[in-house]
Amino acid sequence: MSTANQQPAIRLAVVGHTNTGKTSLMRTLTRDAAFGEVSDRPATTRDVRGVDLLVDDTALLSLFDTPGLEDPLGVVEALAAQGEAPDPVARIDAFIAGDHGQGRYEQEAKVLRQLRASDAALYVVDVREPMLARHHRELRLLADCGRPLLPVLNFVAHEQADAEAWRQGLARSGLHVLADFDTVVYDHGAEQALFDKLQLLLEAHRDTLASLAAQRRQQRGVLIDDACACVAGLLVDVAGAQQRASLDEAIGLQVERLQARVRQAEQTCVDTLLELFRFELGAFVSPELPLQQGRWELDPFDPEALRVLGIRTGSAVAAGAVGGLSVDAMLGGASLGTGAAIGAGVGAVVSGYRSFGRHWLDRVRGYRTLVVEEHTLALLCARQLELLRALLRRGHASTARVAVGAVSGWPGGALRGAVMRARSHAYASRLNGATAPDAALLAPVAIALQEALDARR
Amino acid sequence: MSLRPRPTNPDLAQRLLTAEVCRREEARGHPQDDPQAEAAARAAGGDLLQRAHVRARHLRGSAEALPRLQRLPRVACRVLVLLCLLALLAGVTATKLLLGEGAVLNLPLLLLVLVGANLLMLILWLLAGLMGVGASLLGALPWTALAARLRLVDRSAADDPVRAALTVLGGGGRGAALAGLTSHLCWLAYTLGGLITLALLMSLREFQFTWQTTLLAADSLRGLASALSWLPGLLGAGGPDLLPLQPPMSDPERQAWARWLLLAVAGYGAAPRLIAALACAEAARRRLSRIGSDAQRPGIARLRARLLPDHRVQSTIIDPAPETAGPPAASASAAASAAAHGDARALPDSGVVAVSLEWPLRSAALGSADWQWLDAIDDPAQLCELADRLPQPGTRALVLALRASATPDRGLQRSIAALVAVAPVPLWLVLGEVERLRARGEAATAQRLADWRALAAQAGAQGVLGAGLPVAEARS
Ligand SMILES: Nc1nc2c(ncn2[C@@H]2O[C@H](COP(=O)(O)OP(=O)(O)OP(=O)(O)O)[C@@H](O)[C@H]2O)c(=O)[nH]1
Ligand SMILES: [Mg+2]
Repeated sequence: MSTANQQPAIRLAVVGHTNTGKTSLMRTLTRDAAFGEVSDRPATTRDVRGVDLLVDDTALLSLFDTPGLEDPLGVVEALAAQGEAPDPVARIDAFIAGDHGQGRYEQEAKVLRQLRASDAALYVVDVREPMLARHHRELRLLADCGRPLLPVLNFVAHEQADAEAWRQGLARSGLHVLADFDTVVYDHGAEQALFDKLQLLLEAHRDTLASLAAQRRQQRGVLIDDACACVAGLLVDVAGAQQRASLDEAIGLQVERLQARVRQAEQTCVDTLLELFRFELGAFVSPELPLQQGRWELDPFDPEALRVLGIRTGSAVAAGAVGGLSVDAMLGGASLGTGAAIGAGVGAVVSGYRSFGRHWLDRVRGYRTLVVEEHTLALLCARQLELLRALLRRGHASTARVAVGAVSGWPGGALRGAVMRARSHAYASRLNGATAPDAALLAPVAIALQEALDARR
Repeated sequence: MSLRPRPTNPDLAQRLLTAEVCRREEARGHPQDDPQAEAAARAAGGDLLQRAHVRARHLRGSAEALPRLQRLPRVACRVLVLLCLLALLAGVTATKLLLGEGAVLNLPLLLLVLVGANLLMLILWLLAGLMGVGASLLGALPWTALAARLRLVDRSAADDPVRAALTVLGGGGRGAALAGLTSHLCWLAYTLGGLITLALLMSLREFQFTWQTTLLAADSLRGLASALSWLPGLLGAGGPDLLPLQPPMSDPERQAWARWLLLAVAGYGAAPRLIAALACAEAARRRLSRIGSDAQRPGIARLRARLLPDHRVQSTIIDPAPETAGPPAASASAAASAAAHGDARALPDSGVVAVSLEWPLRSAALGSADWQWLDAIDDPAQLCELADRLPQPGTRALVLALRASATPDRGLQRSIAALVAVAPVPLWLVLGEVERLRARGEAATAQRLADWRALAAQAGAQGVLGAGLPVAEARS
């Protein structure tokens, strides 16, 4: 039997006034941009719906999205009209069991019923709004359900936010432990803090909450690794991309073809990133790459190309010499080392041909090879890095498109070095037909990307 | 704890299949949608990679690809065994031809045939490897051609899984390692064949040994012989220092040369090939194990949400929405009726009493100078008491000031409707702090204003003022 169908350990209701971002909080906490319906209007959510958070396929915590409280004052009046009750909780239970003021407070009754059925509640507030008398009444009503409440200050990253006023107001209602958590501008630290604070509220479930928080930390790490590997793959592919084309054709057309391939690769990378982050496809469309011109293949004075040539020629010379030497040995030394010398020469020639000769030969045969300019590479790299940063700060409640500001030039020397290394390794580029990325080229780029990300976080 | 069976380590065919699925989906830009395969993968458990293997196996089209891929290593093994047998046979035949004729065996010639060509090829192979030529020469092409001969590849299919698998097997230095392994094993078989035949024939027949030569002087010959005796010497055989180079030889001397010959063939011919074969096998093993085992490849990493879900939306809705769909303020007819009668009603010029609800709004900025402002009410529950506080004579209209950015919810609507019911004069709503709302964007503002109008209409108010429309205009 799988344990997947068992009751989760913790049940947490998400409650609050209408239009404060309860469904948005659900989306961000579950990383599910398609959950429920979100709109800037009252009474968008009208049913109670649960989501289980799983760790190793086991549901540890259930979150319940509820309709917004719209008329807490009406409920208070209806409660008063019910007559005597031994205690506030009993009064609430009687209200839930009754006809909810002839069905007028159906929506509020759903919230109270779910809260009674839960271990605790996240009370979502919109800190752009002032804290008003009705919020205090609302809180008292919720407190009467006898469940711990953790206020979640939504919209804290908004320019109109006044979190301090809410802190003071909530303290006056007896709520001193609260979590700052903007559902649109995601902050990983704030989410961890939210789980920490829940641990204070739900002593009995400390371990469960801790393992949930740990899983989220681990997932965040994996996400960053995967995303960096994805971008690194793109950079290695584009850096090594070569397009062999006839000298007879106009270079403009050929450059356009190369541009189209690079753009396609970039969009694929963006789509993969969006999928890794679980945002809806189309949340980001990369603007046109200003890819003015492809540069002639492999600048012979490019330091990296020279370095690679040096290594290759060195080893080839050695190999040739060893080969020659062994022929010398087999001939009993009669050749007096000429074998070694010839071998070394052959090695150098073979290696040189492999590095440059092919392109020169191509040139003679009437072909040119186009590669992507460094300027374009730098831009691509900077933009992907900015996109990564934007995605890391985006909550799943966000309905706006991802915006990436203007970028220019390489984001860092280490990144430049790592990407430019891939330039001289055309065989590793999937744009030239490689089936899988070359780990040895990709890893340094991915590491440099992570460092660049860390540098500004 | 889960009691699922532990997923077993995937074999090469399975990993090739996963790698090919991954490559195909990466090229296509998005994973294939196959809920059944994903469900099977989730049910199988394990880490992302293990689930990706299960998914690949269950994808449409994999059912026939996997058996074909599983055949690949089997056929490869058979071909390898066949090649080795042929090489063994060649070794046997060559040795037999050399030994068959005369009773006097030329040792350098024997060594040249049994070891020389072998060593030369080995050196060439090493050179090719060091220069990096091997990897490119032994890419996918020879394999694909061979596989096509053996009818493993379906030439008509555009993306035949076996052809794709061969490309993967040929790439990343794997092709070179596998080719190296094949050639070393063949040469090893050839040498062993020679060695066995040599041992067999020398134990059944009687041979004389010689280092006879025409070209080399006796000194050079001795030098060559002692150089070649280096390895057999290490293995315990005597060299030209102890033994004569030409017949006549005594029986123990001939036996010593025979031992020398066997050791020389084993040491110079078999041992290097054995070492090289082991090295290649290790390299091939390492490189093959990398196939389909990189969970960070985009094609696999992006399956995480599908295969390793961290949340599950409960399928049953706990408290369903009421039948009457849509929020009241959102109904189109309400908005239409608001447009029809709300703003059109004119506010009287005089006798207007204004009060702000829940939040003190700056009165000067709002409405007209001759409005009479009452103290703000901070709780909608007090609204009905307001009717009693209205200065009786001369009051012709009541204006309720609200914050434009507040959400026009059912609670406010009920309070306003209650006020309308008890108030002796008509009621208008006026929206304050509109700039705050405007700062949230044009669309949001328009929507919110429409919602306010709809609320005013449903609560029975005369209309909504402010919110950008000048009061004077609304009054005319
Ligand atoms: N800028 C910003 N907008 C937010 C944030 N949280 C929610 N929103 C927006 O606020 C509006 C209301 O969000 P919902 O999640 O629908 O609110 P709700 O509490 O579920 O609303 P009801 O279901 O109607 O009670 C939507 O337009 C959201 O996009 C936030 O942190 N920042
Ligand atoms: Mg909602």
